[in-house]
Amino acid sequence: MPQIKVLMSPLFALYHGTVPVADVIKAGRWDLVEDYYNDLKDAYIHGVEPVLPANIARKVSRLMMDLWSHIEARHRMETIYYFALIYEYLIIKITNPKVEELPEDIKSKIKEKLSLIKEVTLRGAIYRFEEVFDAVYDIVDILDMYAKYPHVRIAEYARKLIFFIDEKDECWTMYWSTRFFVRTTMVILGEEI
Amino acid sequence: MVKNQIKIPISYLMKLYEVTKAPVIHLKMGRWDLVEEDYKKLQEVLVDMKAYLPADIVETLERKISDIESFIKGELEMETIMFFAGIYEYILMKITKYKTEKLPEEVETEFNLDLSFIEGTTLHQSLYDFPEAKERVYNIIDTLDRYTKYPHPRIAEYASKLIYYLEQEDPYWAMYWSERFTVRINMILGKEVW
Repeated sequence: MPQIKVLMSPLFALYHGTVPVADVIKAGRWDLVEDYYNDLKDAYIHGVEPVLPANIARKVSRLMMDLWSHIEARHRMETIYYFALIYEYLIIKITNPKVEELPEDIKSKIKEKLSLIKEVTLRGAIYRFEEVFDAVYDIVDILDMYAKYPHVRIAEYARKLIFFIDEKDECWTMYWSTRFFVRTTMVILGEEI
Repeated sequence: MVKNQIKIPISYLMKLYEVTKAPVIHLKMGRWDLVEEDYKKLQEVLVDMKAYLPADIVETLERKISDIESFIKGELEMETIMFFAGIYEYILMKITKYKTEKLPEEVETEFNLDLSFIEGTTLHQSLYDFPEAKERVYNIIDTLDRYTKYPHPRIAEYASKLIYYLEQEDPYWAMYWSERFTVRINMILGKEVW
């Protein structure tokens, strides 16, 4: 699939609107979370949706609806998860990075680690953060050995994730684990989320 | 034009990312001793990465590394941050695939003036010019909206961070993000910055 041309300003608005959500949720400001949701939706509808293929646009619309239902239900971790997921999913679809072709047994190992990361962070289970820490480094070791392409964003997300695990910051850990999870699933395993 | 990708182990990229960002935090604390440690770690990771990089890139990096050493000796805060950030962005651009863009000649001069203004403002910590620098970041986004062919999410992300730190009047992080923003834009426009 070729790259999809999205103008700089909606990309800027998407990023500007999705990143601060972890801090806003930490502060318990659901009124601001709703504002960020509206900004995100606005940037998406006006600047991104019109240039997306129909199947991707349908999927993002569904993700937006899921996000809104979690906001309404005041689900902290799920709200962060969907904000981060929508942004990462869109930039992967827009930039179309090269996907690795790894042996099935290696993919299963990575998948197992990713499931653990997602499960622990979505529960905000700080007492199990060490398991997430180990799982991230296990994935990095596997990629060092088998990946063909440089995956700069995965390296950056892994580093940020490790930092927030050390800080025992459940909200930012959730945010970066989601971006790490989505990118690794799509670019390393070649699977849709 | 699409540039080639160069395979670098992710663990090296993680170290490089960490060690080029850490000086911002350490300089905010006034800890030049820790910045010297960061510099040593940067040298170590670059030694590890050498095996994967073409000779011309290694040569450029060695030159830049010695510039950093002299900035640290002279206790030049902003220059030190600028070069740590610049080295990281330069390596990213050299190892990843990206498409170059061309701006029409009639907008290029104005565009370059905006970029220089931002870099000069952050380099000289001219806090009173931070609001103007912020406006110029928006100008750059508008110009790229109008004339580029491909999506550039990282430029959008760096612009967002830069604006945030200009608004916060944080000269340290503003310097870091303005350098990454400038290096990436220049290289996407086909200019070999170093």
